[in-house]
Amino acid sequence: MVWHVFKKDFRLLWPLSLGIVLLGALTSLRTPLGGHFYGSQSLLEQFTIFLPWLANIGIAIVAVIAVQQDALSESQGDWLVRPLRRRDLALAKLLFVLLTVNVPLMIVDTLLQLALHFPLSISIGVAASRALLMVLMCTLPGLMLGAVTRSLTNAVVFAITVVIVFVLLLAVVTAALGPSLAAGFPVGVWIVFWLASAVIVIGSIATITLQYSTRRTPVARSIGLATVFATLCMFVFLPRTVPLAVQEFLWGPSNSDGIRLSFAPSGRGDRSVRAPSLGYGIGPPVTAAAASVNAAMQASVGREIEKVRLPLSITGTRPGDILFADRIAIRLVSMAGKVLYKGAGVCTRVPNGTACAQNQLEVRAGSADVLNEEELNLPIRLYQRIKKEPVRVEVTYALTRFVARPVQTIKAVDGLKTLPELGSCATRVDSDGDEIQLSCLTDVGAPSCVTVVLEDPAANRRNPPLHRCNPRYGPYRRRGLIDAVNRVGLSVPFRDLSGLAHYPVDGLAIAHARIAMTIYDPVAHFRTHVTVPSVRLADWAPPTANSTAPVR
Amino acid sequence: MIIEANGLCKAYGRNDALRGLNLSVGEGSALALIGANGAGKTTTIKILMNLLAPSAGTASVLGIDSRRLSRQEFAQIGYVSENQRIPARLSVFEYLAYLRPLYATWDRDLERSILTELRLPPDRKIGELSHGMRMKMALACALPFRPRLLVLDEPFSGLDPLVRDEFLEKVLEHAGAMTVLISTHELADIDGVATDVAFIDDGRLLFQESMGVLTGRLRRVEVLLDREASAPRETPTSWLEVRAVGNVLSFVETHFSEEELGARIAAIVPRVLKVDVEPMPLRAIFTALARNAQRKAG
Repeated sequence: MVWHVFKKDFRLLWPLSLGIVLLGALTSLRTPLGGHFYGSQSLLEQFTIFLPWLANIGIAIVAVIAVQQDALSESQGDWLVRPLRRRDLALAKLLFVLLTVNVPLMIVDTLLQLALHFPLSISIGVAASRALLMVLMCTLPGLMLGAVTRSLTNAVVFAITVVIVFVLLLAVVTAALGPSLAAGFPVGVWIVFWLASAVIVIGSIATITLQYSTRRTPVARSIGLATVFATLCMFVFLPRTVPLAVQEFLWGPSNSDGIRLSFAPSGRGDRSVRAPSLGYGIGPPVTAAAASVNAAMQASVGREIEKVRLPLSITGTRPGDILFADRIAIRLVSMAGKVLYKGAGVCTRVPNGTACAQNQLEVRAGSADVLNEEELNLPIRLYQRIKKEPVRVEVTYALTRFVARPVQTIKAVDGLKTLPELGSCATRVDSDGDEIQLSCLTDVGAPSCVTVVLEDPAANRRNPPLHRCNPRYGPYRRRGLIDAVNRVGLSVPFRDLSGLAHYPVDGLAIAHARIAMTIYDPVAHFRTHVTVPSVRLADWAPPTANSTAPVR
Repeated sequence: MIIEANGLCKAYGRNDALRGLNLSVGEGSALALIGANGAGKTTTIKILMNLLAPSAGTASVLGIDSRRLSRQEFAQIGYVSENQRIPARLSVFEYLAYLRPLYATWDRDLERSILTELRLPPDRKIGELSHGMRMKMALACALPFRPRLLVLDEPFSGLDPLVRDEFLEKVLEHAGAMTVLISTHELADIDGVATDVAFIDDGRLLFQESMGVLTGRLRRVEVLLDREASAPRETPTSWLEVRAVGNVLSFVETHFSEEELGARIAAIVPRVLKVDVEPMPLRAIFTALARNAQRKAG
């Protein structure tokens, strides 16, 4: 009977399904048709930027309309008095969306990947994971929405109302609890995404099952609403520690690989400690103007807080590896055992290549031991109250260790090569003539960490390496809900147009230069702790111009 | 009983559509559910068909609780409603082809003959059919599997007399041993169709009776007196709508007996010159009974 209902729906809805598949196919093609590089060639992309969302909404609409062919929430449908098993009906609707939209789109994606010379197994895997994502994020919620509404207009109004209510709720909660709630999950976002997916899958199935078995629309609507709100709230309100805990659970028992954190009072004031870098690599560089704005903001914040820098030592690192602190948690405890302060490490300064921002620490190990100064921003009143008392300091680093893959190379100018893990890559000199643009059409997305060097092998010269780290630890790297093929890239400078800097590999050598890339993979997540039994905070406050408190 | 309802209640927000309705339909009978618009006929039928859940009370159809009607029961029920939603973009033939495999007892020859007799165009999209044609289409979808129970909810609403007669003719032709439940607010529609009648008003059942008994026991009586008539101070409870105009006293006798009527009149009204007794048309019967029921209900 499932096929029987499927055939009826197909007869009625095949033009709609075909339209959505064509839209999805066009969406998948827009990036490859735009070529490797952004610019004039990507006009098509600029004009079709809304297409992916339209295609995704289209899938949900097909699901809604398919269910509403035999609407559950009304009392006039002819099917309601026919000897039809409702389970068969539900399966027929699911099958209809899968077979007429999701599977054809998956086939289109697979063919597209193959056309771009990706291996068959990767092509099928990527297309299947993207199809799965669409089933979870579009098809199931669409079926759920269709089951609790009686017409497409009804469904649209219902969906818009949910969004408006959520935005209002978000505004109220954010206003009440502070904007830090919406800080996001730069590291564990894939876990948050899958947790949210699990919620929406369970909620959708519960709603659909309840509605098909009992047709208790008000109850089903309540469950559906709760599901949508729970899903949206996970992205906004889930504590950041949850994805980290899940991540550590999934990666097995804590294995620190011999890496330890310890208090290193003798390391304070080490001359080799450098200021944190402002940023480099892929993405917009931090301009001088932006840096001065940042400094002004920090100075303004500095009037309310007092900085304390604790010298810590990370031992057991392996040269060439990258350590990334996903979260730094700090507690100050009085000698009587009372917790005086609980917060996150703000900024960490290490001597050997440092990026420091938003509670994260990246260490590119050059030797086995790394000294750093962990910076706390304490409320000035608290600091004034306890600065001369002995306190216990507990520091926890949630770390991820990355190891390097073998180096891959591509010609610096007009190179075109398929690189494992990156896809079809091309290079060219940019319009200013001061950078090499490297761009890859990829189906797996950008790697978490990459180091790029422009080198001239004949002359044995190398420019300073560019490094970028944007950790994503999920089993996949793509946000496949948007495009089947993604474009990733970076710009490698080789000439300073102001003439102040000189690169070893510059304009003259660029014709026979090459780009060498090292990709890093996350191999372990673990926590390492250090407890400093007794310190006086006043001893570790740096003398700063912004500080309003006396240093000693 | 094919259908049995006990204390059915249904509220839409603060409005009570049904207030403790009781109803029973015996096998092989044709019960007409009569009532004004908004009386609760459609709500009753929707609860019986499990299209709506009752707020209170229970109902059983074919011996099964209406909330638990399954494929086995629906395979024996034909349902036609003026508001039935049938896929508008399928043709008549396509929809019949969709329904066929759902019923083990579907008679293809019967389907063909009904299509022909009702002059339904097989290739026409359902959405392109007129209201009358759509009702005939709904009937054509309800009869070919020879249902044990045929439920018709306001089937004649908006139909011209020709289509109405065609429709009725088809129902009667295939009624046989089928139990029929038909709701309508037009009394003329059930003349010659219904064996039993139930009158609903404001969500309550005012009465339910066999059509033969009902038409047999009610008579309009006119009594000619030798003086100016006046309404007696006390009248039998079986007399309704007692009126005096000139020398004539008229009333509706609800327990008519040819043998007893004369004596009963003479006991209450002396000096009778003449008594005229006439059978009543259905409309008049319902008007009299409904007014009386409403008066009693307060």
